[in-house]
Amino acid sequence: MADNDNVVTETRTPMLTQMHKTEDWWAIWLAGILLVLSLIAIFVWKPPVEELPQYRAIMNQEMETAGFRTIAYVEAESQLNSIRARNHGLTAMVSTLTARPKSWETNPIQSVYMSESDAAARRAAAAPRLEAAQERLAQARTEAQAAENAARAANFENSALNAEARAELAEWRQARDQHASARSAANFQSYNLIPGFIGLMIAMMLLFSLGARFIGINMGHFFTGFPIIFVLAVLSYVIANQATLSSIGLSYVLWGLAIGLIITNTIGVPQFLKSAGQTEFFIKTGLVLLGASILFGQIALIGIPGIFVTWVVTPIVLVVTYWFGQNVIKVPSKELNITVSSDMCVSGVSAAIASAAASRAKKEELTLAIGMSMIFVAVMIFLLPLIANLTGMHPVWAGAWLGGTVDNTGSVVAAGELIGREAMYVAATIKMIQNIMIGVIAFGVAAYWCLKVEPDRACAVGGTPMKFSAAGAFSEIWYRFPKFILGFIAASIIFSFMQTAVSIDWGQAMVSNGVLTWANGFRNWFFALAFVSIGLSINYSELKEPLRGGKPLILYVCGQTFNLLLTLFVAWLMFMVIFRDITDRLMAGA
Amino acid sequence: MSNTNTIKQTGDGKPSPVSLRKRMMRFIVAIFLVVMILYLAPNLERIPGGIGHTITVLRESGIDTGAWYWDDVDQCFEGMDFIREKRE
Repeated sequence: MADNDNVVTETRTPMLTQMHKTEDWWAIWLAGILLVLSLIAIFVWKPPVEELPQYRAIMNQEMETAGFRTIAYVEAESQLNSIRARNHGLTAMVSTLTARPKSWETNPIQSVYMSESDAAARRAAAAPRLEAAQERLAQARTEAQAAENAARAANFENSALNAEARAELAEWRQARDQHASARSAANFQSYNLIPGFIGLMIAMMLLFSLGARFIGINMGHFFTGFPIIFVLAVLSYVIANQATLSSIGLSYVLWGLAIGLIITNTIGVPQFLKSAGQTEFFIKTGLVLLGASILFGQIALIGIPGIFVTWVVTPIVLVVTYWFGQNVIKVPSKELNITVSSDMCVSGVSAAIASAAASRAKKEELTLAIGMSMIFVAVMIFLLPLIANLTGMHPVWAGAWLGGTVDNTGSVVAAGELIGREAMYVAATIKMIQNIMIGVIAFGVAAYWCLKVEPDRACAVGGTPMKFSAAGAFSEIWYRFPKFILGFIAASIIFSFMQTAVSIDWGQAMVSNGVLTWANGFRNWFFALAFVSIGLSINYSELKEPLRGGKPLILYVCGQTFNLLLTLFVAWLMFMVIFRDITDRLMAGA
Repeated sequence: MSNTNTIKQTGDGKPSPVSLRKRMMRFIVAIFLVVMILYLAPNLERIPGGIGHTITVLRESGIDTGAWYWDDVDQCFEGMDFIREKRE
């Protein structure tokens, strides 16, 4: 098992003491503070959600009358989508405060600072595009209105007129999108993110210091080292946002690890920096916030075929890959096996973090799993769409295949984009449904580890592991279970319920575009801090051990091959054979 | 080995056995490599055989390819709307 410096350990202490002295509980408290603040903010600075039903009523009425998206429908939808808690009050401030460095091409300074003269030059360059987009929009709108009026005059019963109206309206919607993009470019503003970074660093440092004091972290070291770790985290974002590197999926996670590894293995790390790099604390707090984004209401988005491709295939691949790793290639560490297996078959980095934390994997095992995943993803983004295009796969089938197999959501969407719009949206949706599984996987792995793999995990030092009895089982499970996983699950349940409690539109305005602005904004920074901290605590030689014999690599390649074949088959069966009607509906108008 | 050399620790917490000069040289080489990667990155778009063109398409699409969770990817929100609209 991992040494104590590298894993989260518990000792048999009373629950009340645990609640204010352990990382697990402090992760829950800190994430809880942020989530409660987000709730207060969205209700105090509430967007005009009372207007949502009237826009929805217009949309429903238009859809019922015409059977397709008319001009009134699209305009009402646009109004409805503009009602977001994140545009108001404290949530808007948090959105600005947690802004990450921006994309850049040749000058990295532009990632954090853009002068007014440079911004003016960009605006001037975009002006002709805006002018052309305005002209096209006006023309498209006139033609769409004329076609819609003609169809309406025939009570939308003339199929030829309806088809013409649909086509003209699609043109108009496309012109609207292009106009919005051109307007955004022509209104480009100068920016300086540095003051925001300073504010964010102070806010996060104070937040973590609340728990750090009770957990027993050296506060002097923490306050000295945290700003350095934050600067390195900013640097990881700056490097990751180089436009070309970013487009092949090399994210801040990889650069954070690389920066930390370079420093540790060259000039070395002073003790105060090691004390400030509280990897588990940052990861666990980030994971509880991640729970708020795991919204169970999304499972049914694409119907039964989507559930089959994700919630049936994925667990099968996970279990088979883990079994294969244990019994065939005999991966020496169960924690490494489950982290690589989850990363490969569930959803990449997010699943790897959750499984590693739940099974108490070593930091170098998590690093290895994520590193392999990122390299394979960079290949799969190009290879899978190439195969799909060359073989003429149906876009919905191809999208489902990508969504079920490519590791990270951004990479899934990028790979889908190379096939087409429908494939991209199906792939994104399948991946979202698969993302929800992270909660179940984390819970399952934590339960399996504390009951089966390490039954003496939380027993008293030197004590004999307890035998389970029906009566004592629940209290033992409760005692041994990593508590931050419970916070993670609780956040998921609360916000899943909240998102659908009033209406889908209310959930979108207040949860997806309100609470999640807080959760997402802070979560990404916490993980950036965590990955820099992991890099700062790993020796190159420690990475060699889990790589010995190439077993993790063999595990990943074999598991991914099985995943690709099984998902390909099940996606075909579901979308092309059994539920062909859903596929046809998704392709309607394409 | 001077005291300055032993204050800094490697990832395993042990003092580094390598001299400060060597460590600084390695650090500079590593930084140089990262800077070179960033400097040369735009040239990936010139790779022949369609790969360079594909990278350009992805860059211009504005998709955050490195994002690893759905709520960081704008196209996921569009995808949800697309699916709902088509299934209505």
